[in-house]
Amino acid sequence: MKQNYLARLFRVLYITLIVLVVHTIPVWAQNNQVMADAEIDSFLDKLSQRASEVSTLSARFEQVKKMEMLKGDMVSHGRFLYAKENKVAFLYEKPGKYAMIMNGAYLKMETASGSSKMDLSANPIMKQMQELITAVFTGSLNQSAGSYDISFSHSEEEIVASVKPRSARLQSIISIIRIVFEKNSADVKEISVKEGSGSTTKYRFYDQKINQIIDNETFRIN
Amino acid sequence: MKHFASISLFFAIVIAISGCSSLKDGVWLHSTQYANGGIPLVYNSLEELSVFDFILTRKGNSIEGTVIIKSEGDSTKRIVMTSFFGMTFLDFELNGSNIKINYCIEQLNREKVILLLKKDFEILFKPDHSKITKYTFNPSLKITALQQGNGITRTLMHFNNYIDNYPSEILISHPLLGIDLKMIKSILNEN
Repeated sequence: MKQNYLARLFRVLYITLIVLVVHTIPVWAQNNQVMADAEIDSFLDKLSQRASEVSTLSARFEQVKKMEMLKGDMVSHGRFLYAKENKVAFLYEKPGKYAMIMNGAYLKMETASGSSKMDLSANPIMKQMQELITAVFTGSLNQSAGSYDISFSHSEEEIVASVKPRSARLQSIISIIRIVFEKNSADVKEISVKEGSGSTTKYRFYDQKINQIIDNETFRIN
Repeated sequence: MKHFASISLFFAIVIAISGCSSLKDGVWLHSTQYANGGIPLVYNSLEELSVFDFILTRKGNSIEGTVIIKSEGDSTKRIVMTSFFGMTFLDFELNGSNIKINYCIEQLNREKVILLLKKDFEILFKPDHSKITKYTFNPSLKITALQQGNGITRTLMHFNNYIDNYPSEILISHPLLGIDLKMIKSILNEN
């Protein structure tokens, strides 16, 4: 029984990691205004157009985890890489070297103890996650509406997509994800993930470069 | 007779397996100079916050992350386990033999799993938590290993790389369950 629990735990951890990664943005509570339907359509068109123009993206990222029990935040840094159609890599550099790589239906984790691979399509929840990830990076966020409640708000410089899982099970792990886009460029600036535990992890992306050559080996799963 | 032979074989195998990875050269608590208290500690409770990198392994599957242990008052400790990628999967408090779960992801929220982790940390915070414990010591009388319990929940711990009187590397094993938890002292990368 215990083996089953642990095996399920490992699966959920992978799922959650994906969710965390995918939802890379957010400024939790700003004085944003709810967007009108026409504004949302316009933004989604822009997102799609941008996605069609971007074949690769590289950026630095900062991961900041806030926990109620800590006075400060836990901070990690690294490099983020994306390549069409569905290749994503988070390469952590500080405080430790580890990596999370998604390529198609597979996820690979690399840590000090070695690497492990997982077939994302083997689990319906994982499949949902994969679809959401793809949606964020391909600009088809509106197509994820079946599994998530997504609302949009905006300020003068930003557009915020708030993504709430419809599945109660998923919601117990991830309460809400906020993705912050730069209003004019539709660049993803930040992703915040609020967990069921109450902790929040924020991923901030900077030094973004598009359409530069990225070694395909980086995304190799096997 | 046939069944008796099978049962005997089963118990022989269990006994043989139980003997594996045991602390054969260990000394029972009652045979040490610490029978009446004063066992050397393996965790520094004076630190308000301790951080370890961890690897939890179960038969080829492993997860890694950070364990944060916060001492709250004289006897309460809060333990939070998170992944490197930001997710919290367990947050609980220990006060003596009492446990309070603040958060636990659904898949880990099973009594047997929680009780196993509870016991592991109780031993870590109080190495003479049970009188039925065997120890090995180094020449400086620091604990290098201990074993507590019998059968499937037997717990074996190794303490290595002592720095400032406390081990910086801790390996907690449950040999018959095939579960290992390795913890390496780290620092919190805060801003």
